[in-house]
Amino acid sequence: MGRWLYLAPLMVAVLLCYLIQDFYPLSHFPMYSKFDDRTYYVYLRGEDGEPVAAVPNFNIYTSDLKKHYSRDLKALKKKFKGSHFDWTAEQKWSAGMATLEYLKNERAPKVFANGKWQGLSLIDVRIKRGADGRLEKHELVVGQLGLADSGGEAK
Amino acid sequence: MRGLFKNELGQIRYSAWEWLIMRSVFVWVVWAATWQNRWWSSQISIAPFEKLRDPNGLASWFDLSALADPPVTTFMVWLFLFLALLYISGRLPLLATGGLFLIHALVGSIHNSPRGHHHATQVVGLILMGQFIFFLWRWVRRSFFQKGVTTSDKKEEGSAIATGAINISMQMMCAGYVVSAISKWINSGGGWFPGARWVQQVPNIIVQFSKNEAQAYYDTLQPPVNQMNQWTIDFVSDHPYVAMTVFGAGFYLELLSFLALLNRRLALLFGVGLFLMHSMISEIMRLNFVYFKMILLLFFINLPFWIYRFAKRKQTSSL
Repeated sequence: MGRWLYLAPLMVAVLLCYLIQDFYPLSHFPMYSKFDDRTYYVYLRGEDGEPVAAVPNFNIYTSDLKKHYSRDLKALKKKFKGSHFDWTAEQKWSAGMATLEYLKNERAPKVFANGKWQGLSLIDVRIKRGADGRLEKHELVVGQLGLADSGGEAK
Repeated sequence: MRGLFKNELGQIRYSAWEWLIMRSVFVWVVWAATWQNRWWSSQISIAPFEKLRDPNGLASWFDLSALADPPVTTFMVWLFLFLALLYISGRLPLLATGGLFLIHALVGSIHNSPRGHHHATQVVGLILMGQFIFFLWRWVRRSFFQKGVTTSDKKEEGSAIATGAINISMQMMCAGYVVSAISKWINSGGGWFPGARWVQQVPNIIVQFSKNEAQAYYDTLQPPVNQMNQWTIDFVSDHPYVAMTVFGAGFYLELLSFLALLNRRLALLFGVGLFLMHSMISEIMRLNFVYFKMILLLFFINLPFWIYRFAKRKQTSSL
């Protein structure tokens, strides 16, 4: 037993990391700590209906864009019941618009100067592992600059 | 295999030259982790791209916006360089590790906000924190409890410092792995057998692979350079039990990583195993584990020691 006491710093660090969870540099490292059979991501689409590269145009990774959208979706949980995986595009629209507004007003305001990128839309893509073990994808438009409210199946 | 599982906790001795090599490389790992892979002071900026939402670490206690002012940032960069030189030289290690840890924790708290968004550099901070605590503990012990007790044997002194600093660094790294495994165990539904539910969920990982692939594509609209991701999706779909075995092995490598502290052979074995695990995940999921891999190479795999040992054995046998 005595020798194992040499591991006391490790045990204390594990305990602190697990209890405090996230206080840099302490972390409980929760990445991929569970695997659901469904997930989602977002991407940007231009007015012409073609995808727009997020990094060269807006200096943002789509994973970061998703984190903002996810936060805005969570805020809607007070308003709508159930999981956002079951919500319609209309229900998710305000979260999508908030993400686009963040991009336009906070993240990359210069890029949007002189009305550029009017009609830019945010596409929400849901992926599910089906009963046969294969992947199914479903896309929805959840926000478009210049449109107050709308939403629907992505073309 | 002889002596592979021998418990040598508290008996492993490291040499001063091992610690010199490790700290001389590790300090540049700290540099890269702190300044986000920017190498020239003129390029470094810690002005947050966004307003700090849900700040992580010290930024949640104090307003750190002043650090983003270019003159303050420049001062910190040069202070870091000065402390890095002190750290490499082995002089004033309490000041060097404490100063480097403080700068890393301050800047890291900005770069790693919002809380929970990034987990790439925490292990670097944990190791620095461990080294600082080790030197603090050593200073307190010498100043208040062992006053006047000094060792005249410089080699012995160097080895004692090396052993303590390397051991605490490895313990902090293992703590990161163990807590990560515990999070997987609990977040995936717990259960009596560690990780059983997490392993059961592994076939669902293909939705994550697919998401990562798509996100990488929509970042730049460049098609993926390698086809590893799609190959893995197909493979996991067709052979879920093989995937559960491979990922299960990764889970137990993390959970049992503290066994690497038992002796140098196990450290090498776990170091190589974890290094391969990160390399595989990097390939498949397009995630960067450069800091984890560098730390494993330095403190666990410790190639210079094995080369030295191999050369010494050869020399002895030829006599």
